[in-house]
Amino acid sequence: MNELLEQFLIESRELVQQATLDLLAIENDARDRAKLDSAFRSFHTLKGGAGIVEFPDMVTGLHAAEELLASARAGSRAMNVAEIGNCLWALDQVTGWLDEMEKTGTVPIDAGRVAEEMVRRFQPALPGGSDSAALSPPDWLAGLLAAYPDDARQAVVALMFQPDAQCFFRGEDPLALVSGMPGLLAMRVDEVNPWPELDDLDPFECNLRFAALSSATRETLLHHVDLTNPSAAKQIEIRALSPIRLEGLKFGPTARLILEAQRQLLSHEETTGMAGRVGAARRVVMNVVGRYGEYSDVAQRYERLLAAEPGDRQRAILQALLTEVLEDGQDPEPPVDKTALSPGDHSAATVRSLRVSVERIDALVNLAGELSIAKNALAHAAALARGGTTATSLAVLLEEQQARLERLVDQLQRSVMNIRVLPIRQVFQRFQRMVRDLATETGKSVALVTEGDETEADKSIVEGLAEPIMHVVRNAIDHGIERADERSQSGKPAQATISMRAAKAGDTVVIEISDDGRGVDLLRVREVAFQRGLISATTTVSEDETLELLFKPSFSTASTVNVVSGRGVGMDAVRSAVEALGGSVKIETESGKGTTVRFTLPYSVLMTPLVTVEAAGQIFGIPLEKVVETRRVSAGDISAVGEARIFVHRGRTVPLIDLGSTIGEPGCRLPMDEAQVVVVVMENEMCGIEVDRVGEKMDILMRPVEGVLAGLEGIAGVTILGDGRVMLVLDLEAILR
Amino acid sequence: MSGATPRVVMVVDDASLVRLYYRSVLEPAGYRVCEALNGLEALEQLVAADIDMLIVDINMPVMDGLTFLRALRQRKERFASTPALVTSTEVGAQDREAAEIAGANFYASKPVSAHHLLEVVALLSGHKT
Repeated sequence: MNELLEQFLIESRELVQQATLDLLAIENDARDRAKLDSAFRSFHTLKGGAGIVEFPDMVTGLHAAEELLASARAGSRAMNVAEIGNCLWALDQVTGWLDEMEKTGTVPIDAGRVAEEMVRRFQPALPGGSDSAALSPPDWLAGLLAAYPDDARQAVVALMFQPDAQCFFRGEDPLALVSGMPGLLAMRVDEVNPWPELDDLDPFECNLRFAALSSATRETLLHHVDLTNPSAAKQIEIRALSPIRLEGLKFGPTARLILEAQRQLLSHEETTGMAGRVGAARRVVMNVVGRYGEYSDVAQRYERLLAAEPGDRQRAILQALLTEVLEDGQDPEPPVDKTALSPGDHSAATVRSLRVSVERIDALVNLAGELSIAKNALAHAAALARGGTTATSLAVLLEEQQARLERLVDQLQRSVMNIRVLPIRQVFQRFQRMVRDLATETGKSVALVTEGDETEADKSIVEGLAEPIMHVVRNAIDHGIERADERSQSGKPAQATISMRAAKAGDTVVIEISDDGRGVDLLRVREVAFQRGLISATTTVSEDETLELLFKPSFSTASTVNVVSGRGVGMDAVRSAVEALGGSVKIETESGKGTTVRFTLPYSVLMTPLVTVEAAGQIFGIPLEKVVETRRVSAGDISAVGEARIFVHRGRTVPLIDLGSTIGEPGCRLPMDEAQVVVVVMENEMCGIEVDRVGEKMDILMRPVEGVLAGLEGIAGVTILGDGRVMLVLDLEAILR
Repeated sequence: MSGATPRVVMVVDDASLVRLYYRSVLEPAGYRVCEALNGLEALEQLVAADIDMLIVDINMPVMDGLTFLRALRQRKERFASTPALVTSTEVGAQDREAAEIAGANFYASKPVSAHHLLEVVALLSGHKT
């Protein structure tokens, strides 16, 4: 994925988050101008970003939402709940697109339908938009140009086509007519009249209006229309657009000289004042490009693009631009934009990025500097040794340096761990929205209060927390929190409160999710546990033991949801998710007062990368550092040598071990034409491990083996998978011995 | 960037005649012109005023043009990136290169014709005609 798209994804997610929070605030207080302004700006910036990465559908959709917010800002009319809901819905769609872009590394191509739906949802709310939607003449042209700014610059004509309502009866196909248009750059379809209720809809009547941009001439288009659909020509409107062309950039000789001078200026490898020079060159380039009226929007796009880049990137981008402009004299399009669409750029599709504060990077840079000084001291020691210094004095020097290195490496480790650290806020924030939606769904009134948002934890922990917290919040709203009338009767405020608190305690981070609901009904829990055979009738169970029952997988079944007035759904899932992060869960409850779920998690984690394999019906992990490659070996290429089997891998004879029969039951595999083999290397010796299937690569938190497995040979550790299964990580040394 | 606000050009030159010449060419064309007698004065003024472009002479007392440019480009403030046109009576390629290395955006040898000056200043400052 290219940097531009990466930056777009990061920023867009932040903007979606910000807009969501603003919209929720507006919902609480419709007169909050500051939040309205902020929400508007977020939508506006999101749309701008979509334009830069050339995602016209997102531009179109968000433009409609932005119009609504703009009209709310301009007028005294407050936004209603439905409109806020639509805006939140639009943000959901954007998140969906962002997810897809993160996966594929490109702009979704099938987003048009959703974008149209977005436009549709926002239309009726626009002032005066109740009857004729956005594209009614003469607005259709402006709307079209605004929705497709990039295509608009290449377009020669704009076309509006409103087919006769009865056109279907004449066997005409207006969509085919427009989409088959020569030189088609962009098209949008709108309804002529607002869509009636489904029952009143006449599917045989055409209620569509098409608007399109084309790079063909007016004559060509008319010809096309005449040929395909003679009767259509009557309702067609074609407008010539001003001949703005990107080709044949006509910089005057002085402008070229000045641009050339900027290229020179950027080429000097002078270290002092580089930021100032790059900035000065950037201002001059933008001034020169912007002076040519038709390129002023290009200049503005560049400005935005460059402003987001660090200095050295700015320099590279400017240099690329200048080379392009001066050598081709043709196309001042941002070069980075082109790579965004170049095929074959999908390889590094899922680049995971992390925003790191400058201070933390600086700390690393300082450490790197100190390390290189320490390295030089070793060279000094070597020189002394060569010069005949006594072993004792040399030892003193070396010990000193060793102590220094140890301290530095220790600091380095801590600094690196710090880079992976994120504020818990990132996960807490998402729940404002979820609590609102769930509360609305269940007809309860719930406020979310967060505390200690700034508490930090390892990135993988912060990210892994979302799911278990979601389960807990869902439980709290579904079961823990009472309806408003019930609350009032028991003297509680009608609005319930869920509070999320985070705090750092030593090497751990504690997350607490509390509600002020009715608490867990311990009696009912015991009853259900008895019915499920988890406890016998005579067992006396303490309060803690009772709460522990909630985490039993067999306890959390759907049928208990309605019985237990408190917790129950998926607490086993919560526990396995938290344990997968290396943490633990505890529940505290007080009847009538509420429930608190507490996660205790490590502050930082060291993850082991491994590849999963299946053998003898089980899943195992093989540490990735040992794996050379995975391949298939056909049965004919495997030869038996006594008891053992061997095959040839890259010109070397390599022993083959069947994992299933080594660790599981022997001979449980059916003979196959091909063996799936993981080639591993151990102390410079290669070895093939035959498995049933090779799974995926993953980073896991490895935990020591405890309990019944503790004595088992060949197991280095265990980990809990996302779905709660336990996976054994193989100790290859022990297995191959 | 709108055409409504006039561009502000600062002339850094110790010769009053030269300063007057620039003023007489630029002001009728819609620019605002301010003056500094040497590099140090220019730096002082830049801190306070919003300048769109500099016209800098090389040979000046107190702080010469190249020293001024080097100091300017190393500043942390936004004005470090103010576009600069360096002018000098010397016509050598050496002078041009020295100006570039110091951080000049463009170089013109004196005397600069009114026509050429207006063209260059318009491009460097982003003046809309």
